[in-house]
Amino acid sequence: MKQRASTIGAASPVKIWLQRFAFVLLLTIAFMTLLIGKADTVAVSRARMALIDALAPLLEAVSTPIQTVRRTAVDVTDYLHLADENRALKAQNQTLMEWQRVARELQAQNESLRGLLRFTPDPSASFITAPIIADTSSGFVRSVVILAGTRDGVSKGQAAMTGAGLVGRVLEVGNRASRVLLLTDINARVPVIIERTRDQAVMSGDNSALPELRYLPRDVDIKVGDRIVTSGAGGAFPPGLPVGEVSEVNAGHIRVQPLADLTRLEYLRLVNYSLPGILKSDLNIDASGYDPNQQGILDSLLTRSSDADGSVAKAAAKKKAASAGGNKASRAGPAGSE
Amino acid sequence: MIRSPFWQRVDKWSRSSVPVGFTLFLLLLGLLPWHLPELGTIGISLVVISVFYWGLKKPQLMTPWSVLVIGLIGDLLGVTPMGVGTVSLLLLYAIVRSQARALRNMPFLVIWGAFILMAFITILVSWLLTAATDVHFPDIKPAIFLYLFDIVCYPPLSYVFDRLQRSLLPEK
Repeated sequence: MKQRASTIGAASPVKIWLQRFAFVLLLTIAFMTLLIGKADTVAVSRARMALIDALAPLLEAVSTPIQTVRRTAVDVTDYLHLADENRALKAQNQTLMEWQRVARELQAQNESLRGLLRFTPDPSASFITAPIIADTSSGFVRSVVILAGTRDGVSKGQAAMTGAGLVGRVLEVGNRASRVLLLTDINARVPVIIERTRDQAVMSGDNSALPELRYLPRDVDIKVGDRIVTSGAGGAFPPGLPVGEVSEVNAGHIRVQPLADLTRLEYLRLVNYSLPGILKSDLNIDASGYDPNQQGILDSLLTRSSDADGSVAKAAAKKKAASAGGNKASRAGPAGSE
Repeated sequence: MIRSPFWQRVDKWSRSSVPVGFTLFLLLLGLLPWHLPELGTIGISLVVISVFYWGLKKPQLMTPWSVLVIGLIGDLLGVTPMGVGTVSLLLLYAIVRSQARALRNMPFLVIWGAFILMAFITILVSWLLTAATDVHFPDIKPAIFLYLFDIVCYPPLSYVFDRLQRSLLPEK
């Protein structure tokens, strides 16, 4: 009994100490997760996808009735506007028929020109369509979880689209579910081009509904309504994918309204264009930031990204020739969204 | 009917896990594609209410460790950037516990007022931490909407929690 009392007596100060400092300890752990998350380690990504994978069936089961109710509400609204919509569609059909005629002419012309240039066609794209089972598009993160993973052929970096346009990019892939980073997320960067003026820019999200256009030339002639498409720079996305329309030009701040309605996503189409991109993880660059096996890719990137500047391109070519081993250049370029 | 000690333990355990279980359920609810105008999803809003309520009323069942686990799960599921949810919820819990004595036996309106203030601090800290980790100020509007959503949802949700507490977790 005496021994027991002394054991308790010894444990009590430890318990009191633990209680007193428990909160400090927890807060330290929390701040450490903040730093680990910022370091974007593979372990965090794996843990995240394992958890999402495990919860995917549950999320699917719960989200299905919500989707059904919402779809019914949309059906009722659509039915009420059926006559107006029919009229608008007829008018649109007339316009589209005209466009189809023009497109056919251009297609024929394009094919003959390709033949003349011995044009190498783009790598064939493959599609996967997947439903959205979770949406984390809150004030702090803009991403969605889809019910398709490695078992369905999803891989990191694939472009996520709807019929209207680009939505984002596959960020993390689990076995049965994947996370797609939306264009509006604060970490999303998409190399784009203004269709009318051919000026290149980077579309950058900030968690608001309208991403911003950055790195545009100062004297750019841009107007509300200008269409924005992917530029293809970086190889993350192929050129020409519809992204959005300029919605606001205000004191140097240019905002883009994405063509796809990111607040009403139900299904996403993941498109694999077999483009490697140059994300660190895509290139398998180690923690030190350097992988000698990827030197060829980086060299080709330097050559490609500085096409406009002949001197830089020549310098890169000289560097490449000087480097021992002569790694073969691969297709790559500046990053897409991550 | 007299139940065996095993089933009594199971019953006690399941009742005592109501606050954490319900908070995790609200976390999953926040992940669903609600498509609310201007808000998108409800994200961490309902979790903030739950941690505030149970931290105030049943701290022995909503411990700081459970808040840490809830925050981590939220961060891993992508509701908030990694670490942001965990830090914000722990901070909320610490403020709630520090004011628990002052708020004891206070009328509902006073507690709601305290929640409005504490939710403001929580959402602001989340927003600032997101800005700090991304070295770029995110749009403030969605954070304001989340905060307003929190304020509006507190009365009905606290009513549900009250009912749950009375039926499943009666005071001894």
